[in-house]
Amino acid sequence: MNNKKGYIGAIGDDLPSLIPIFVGLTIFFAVFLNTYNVYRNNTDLYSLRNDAINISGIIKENPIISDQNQFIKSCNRVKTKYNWNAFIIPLDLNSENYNGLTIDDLEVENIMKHWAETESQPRKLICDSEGLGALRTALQTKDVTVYKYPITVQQQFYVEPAWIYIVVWK
Amino acid sequence: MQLIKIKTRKGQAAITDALFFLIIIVALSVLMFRYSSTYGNRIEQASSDLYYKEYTNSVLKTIFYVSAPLDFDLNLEKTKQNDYLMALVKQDYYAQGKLGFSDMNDLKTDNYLDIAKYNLFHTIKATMRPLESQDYLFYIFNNEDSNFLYFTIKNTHFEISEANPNSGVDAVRGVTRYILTENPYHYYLCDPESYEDVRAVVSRSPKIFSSSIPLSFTYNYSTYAQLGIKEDIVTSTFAMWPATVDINSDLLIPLNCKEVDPLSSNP
Repeated sequence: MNNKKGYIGAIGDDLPSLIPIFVGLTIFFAVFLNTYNVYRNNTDLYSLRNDAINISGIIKENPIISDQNQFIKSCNRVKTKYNWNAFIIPLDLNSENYNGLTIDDLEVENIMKHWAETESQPRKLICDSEGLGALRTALQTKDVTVYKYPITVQQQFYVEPAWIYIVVWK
Repeated sequence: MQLIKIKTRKGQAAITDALFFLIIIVALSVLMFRYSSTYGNRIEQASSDLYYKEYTNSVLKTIFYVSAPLDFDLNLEKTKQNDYLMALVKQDYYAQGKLGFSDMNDLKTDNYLDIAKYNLFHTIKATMRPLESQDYLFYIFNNEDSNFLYFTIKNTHFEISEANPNSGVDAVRGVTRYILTENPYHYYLCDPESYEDVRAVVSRSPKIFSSSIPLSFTYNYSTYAQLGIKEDIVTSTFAMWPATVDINSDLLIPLNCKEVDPLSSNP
């Protein structure tokens, strides 16, 4: 009897030491999963933003956007796994007139208006003019990366400053 | 009796091992948690740095390729005459060995000889308009004579409010608060004596994004008696940094800056 004092079985005897092991494993896997998720989400975000920078690099490769064909050719050279679109709107040299762009402004006619009015041939400086609806929806429902840069567009008698918007989303 | 002792000690050894295991796991978890909590910030920082770097290149390219109206209306569509902005700048330098008619840190909107300077100032201001949180400078530096031909800087003004001892966490931590003043964005034209003065200002910012291009300028100093052409290599640099309290208007004094009046400078 003396030999069996306090003995409650093979598992029961190890129970006090099993508790810290299980607690430790639970903490470890919880933190590990959390770290993995943070890493994955942020790496995705970085990859998306990196692609946005690469897209802007391709489209802005020529310092002057000379015409619609050249612009569309640049758009077609973009290879990315993400959804994206890019378009160009005029830049007012008077900074007091600066207005940000709203979702309501994202109509083909609105974006085309300026380039159509100042040229004999109307131009669509939009990479995917059919995809503006999807872009509007994405802006309202998803995390979208929007990068904006100043560039220049060749007009008939002068080189006009403009904004290029690069919009990328998953 | 001997057997009981061994059994008891075995149990103690097992729980000690388990506790050591727990300590190691907790330490590892803390390390992982710290890594993951700062990883997002580092990624955010890295991608915004990439963006700002690309933006500085775009601003500089725009300055070099854009046209400018030959008046003070800042409207290319309605102007009667226009020319490339950099061609105007080079023409100024060719004729006078400097930009514009007025002093380097001054801008006159009633003298057509200041058109290049005026349009250069406003082109940079317009291209930087979306990034209000960034301050910037643009200069053209003559490497041959070691002097500046043009220098503009934007400086954001902050109001320093001392922590209120009767309220909030800030008072406890002794944090001083910096808030934007009512009209925080100030634009200057400057006439720095030396490059070191400029470096002393920008080095106060922990982070700076810059882009430079070397250019060739020609100055015709011919007189009736003698023909003289001088070729100068100049560097034009655009740099921007997140607006910081460490760069304030007092620090700009050595740069001989004059603020460009926002009312008189706009058309």
